[in-house]
Amino acid sequence: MKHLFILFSLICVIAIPLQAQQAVDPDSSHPIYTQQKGRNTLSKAQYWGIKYNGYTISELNDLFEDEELLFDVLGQPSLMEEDSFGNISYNFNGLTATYQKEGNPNFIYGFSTTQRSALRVTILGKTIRVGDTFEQLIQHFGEDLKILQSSSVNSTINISFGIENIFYDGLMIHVNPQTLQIIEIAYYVNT
Amino acid sequence: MFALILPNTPEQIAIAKAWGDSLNKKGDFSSSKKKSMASTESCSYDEEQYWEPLCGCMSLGVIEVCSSNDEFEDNDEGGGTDCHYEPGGCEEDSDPNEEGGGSNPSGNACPIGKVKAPNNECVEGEKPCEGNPLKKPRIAKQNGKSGIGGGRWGIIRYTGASTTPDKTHDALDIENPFGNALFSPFNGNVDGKGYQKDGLGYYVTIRFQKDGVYYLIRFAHLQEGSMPTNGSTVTARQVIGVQGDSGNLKKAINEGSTVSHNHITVFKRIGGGWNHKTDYTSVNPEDFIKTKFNSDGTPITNTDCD
Repeated sequence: MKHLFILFSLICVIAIPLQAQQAVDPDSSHPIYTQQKGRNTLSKAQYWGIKYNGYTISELNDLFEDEELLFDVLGQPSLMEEDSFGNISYNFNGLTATYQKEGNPNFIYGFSTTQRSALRVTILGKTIRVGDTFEQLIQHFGEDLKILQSSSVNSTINISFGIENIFYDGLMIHVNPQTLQIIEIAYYVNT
Repeated sequence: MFALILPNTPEQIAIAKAWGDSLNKKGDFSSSKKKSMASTESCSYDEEQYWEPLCGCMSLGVIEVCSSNDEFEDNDEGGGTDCHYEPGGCEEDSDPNEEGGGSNPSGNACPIGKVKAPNNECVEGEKPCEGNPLKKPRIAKQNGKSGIGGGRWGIIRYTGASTTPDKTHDALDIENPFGNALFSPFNGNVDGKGYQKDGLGYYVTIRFQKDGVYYLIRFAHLQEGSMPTNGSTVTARQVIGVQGDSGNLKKAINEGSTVSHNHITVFKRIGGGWNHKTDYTSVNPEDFIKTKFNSDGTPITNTDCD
């Protein structure tokens, strides 16, 4: 039994510093951490006016319903998988999307990207893309831009846009806490 | 911290297994291929348990030395999902639903309050009664205008505008903390598994029969690799996955729209074939689970699955 504890202690001594090395503390004094916490709410017209590669969600829902038109607009997908329930997952040059076809009506369940060239999102007339900096977001949306409460300074900084008191869907922007650049943009319907 | 340093890759497990072999030889346990599970000298399941290579039961719930390729024999009383490593092979109980048995003197291969998932990890959870996916199912409400109704089947959630389709919520959202087990309410078979990055995340579908009619019950937002294999038989109260935040759920939680939950859908077979698209239709999961809720979502019967 002593052997066990000796080995166990040795593993602890080795493993703990390794674990510490993997987690790089961001600069928690950066102004991003003093931003107001919460969801950024827009009016219904403003929110449904958000454009994704030039299309509103309503227009995209129509587009996904007509696959031929969809491919004309977004190009041929590099991946297209239909599950057994008829729901389809696509990848259009780094923009992944799921189109829900079970139930009624059909609708876009969500899409996301981590690639700069895959998606341009226009909110209140300002366009953002993966790779943009938090400073650019502040320039676009003002000092009042809110970030979501995070459980840890090491986790991704999340910024969301939606309609006040309506949680049907949302736009989520993920910012890398080290580089303070946008690393992912996603639209999602709450399941 | 313990979980971080325990072996969890096949290579690490192989090293641990070899090391256990060498210690076993030194400890003269070689004659105990069918060692009684009641032998407590080599296994401790008290608080803050440590890994015991002579037994192999990961009481911290992190790894399981035995694999499905090893030889198993069950000569102890009762069932349990226990498995322990022996110099010449492994033992495992055959019935994961039976109470007791195994190498744990307390009657469970995992520490109290934990159950063994299909990936052999011990996870938080308490076996429910037959007919329920959790012991104390509670409807996960949707924050904002949709409220508790937003977690129920057949409800049209507030979209905020008429420019989007009115989407009916065709599932029942049941609260379940991240990392907790989910249980099959019924006997059945794993009909399929899937992944939607931008939707349901990892999901598993179980086919079951009720009153001569076939149904599918699907559990979404699970953790990767936590589900049983396709085609395998599952029994009521068996763990069929571990709650995750895959798909859209993590974003919804981060946004504050809801809490960690499982999105449970039931499909009734209405056609003559087995095509999910054409031969099944979504029905209310509340008609199937044992706990019943009143109009405001408060559980009213079998509330704690007693």
